[in-house]
Amino acid sequence: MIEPLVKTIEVPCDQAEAFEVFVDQMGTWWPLARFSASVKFGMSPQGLRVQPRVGGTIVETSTDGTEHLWGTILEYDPHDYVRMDLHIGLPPQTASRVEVRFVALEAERTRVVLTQSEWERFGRFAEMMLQGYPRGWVVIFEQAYRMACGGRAPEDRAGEG
Amino acid sequence: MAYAQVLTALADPTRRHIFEALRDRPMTVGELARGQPVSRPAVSQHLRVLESAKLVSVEPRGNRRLYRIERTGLDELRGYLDRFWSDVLSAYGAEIARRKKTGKRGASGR
Repeated sequence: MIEPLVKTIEVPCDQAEAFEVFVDQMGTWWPLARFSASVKFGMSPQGLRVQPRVGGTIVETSTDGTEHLWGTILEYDPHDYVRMDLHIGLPPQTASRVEVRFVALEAERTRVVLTQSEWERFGRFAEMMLQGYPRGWVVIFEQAYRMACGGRAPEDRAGEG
Repeated sequence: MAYAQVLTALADPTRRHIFEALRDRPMTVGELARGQPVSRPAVSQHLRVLESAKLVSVEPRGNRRLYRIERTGLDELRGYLDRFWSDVLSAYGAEIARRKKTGKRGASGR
């Protein structure tokens, strides 16, 4: 009855880099200033660390050293596929499954397909995400993104080859 | 905003349990209360919150009221999460673009 949420983006790099940046180096790009567990608890986010293996954890650290468990890696299949249980410091029963698939289109072009299932169980997580979400940020970011890669917003890029 | 109301409604564990119970089939307050560690009036109150968030709708069935999942609230939440992942993926795309621009490979670059 409740269909998964699917988001697609195409990135100008090979499949291995697309995978490694997304998973192993998630901390280098995740917009922590906007979406973090620290904010929920009145702290400031410092970093995000991923143990890139099955059973590995995704942990956010606050500037005061507090750690927030985001979730666990359920399947780790470089450089094709990763599946995570994300609950971001909240009880595991609020978790939602997020899987990401990496499809090589060309030598330097990879399609990244993110699927979130059981997203309707995500009440608490989503409420946390709601914090510190300044109005207009999307617009600002999408402009920056367009400038950075001379492209369009990710939704528009879906299906392009 | 509507999605904020949906998030608030689902943020309460009891309400989430009620909502999830209704995923299986429509139920009356009595049926719902049997599966919850809370009183029947409390279940009714939670149902009102879910109803105003458009997560649940009610339909009279003879002398009973049957509660079922309503799509509108879920569509709001879906739209919100859709935008969330758009933002996250944009940040990811921007990082890839930044690396290309600076000529930097990932740590394990080949």
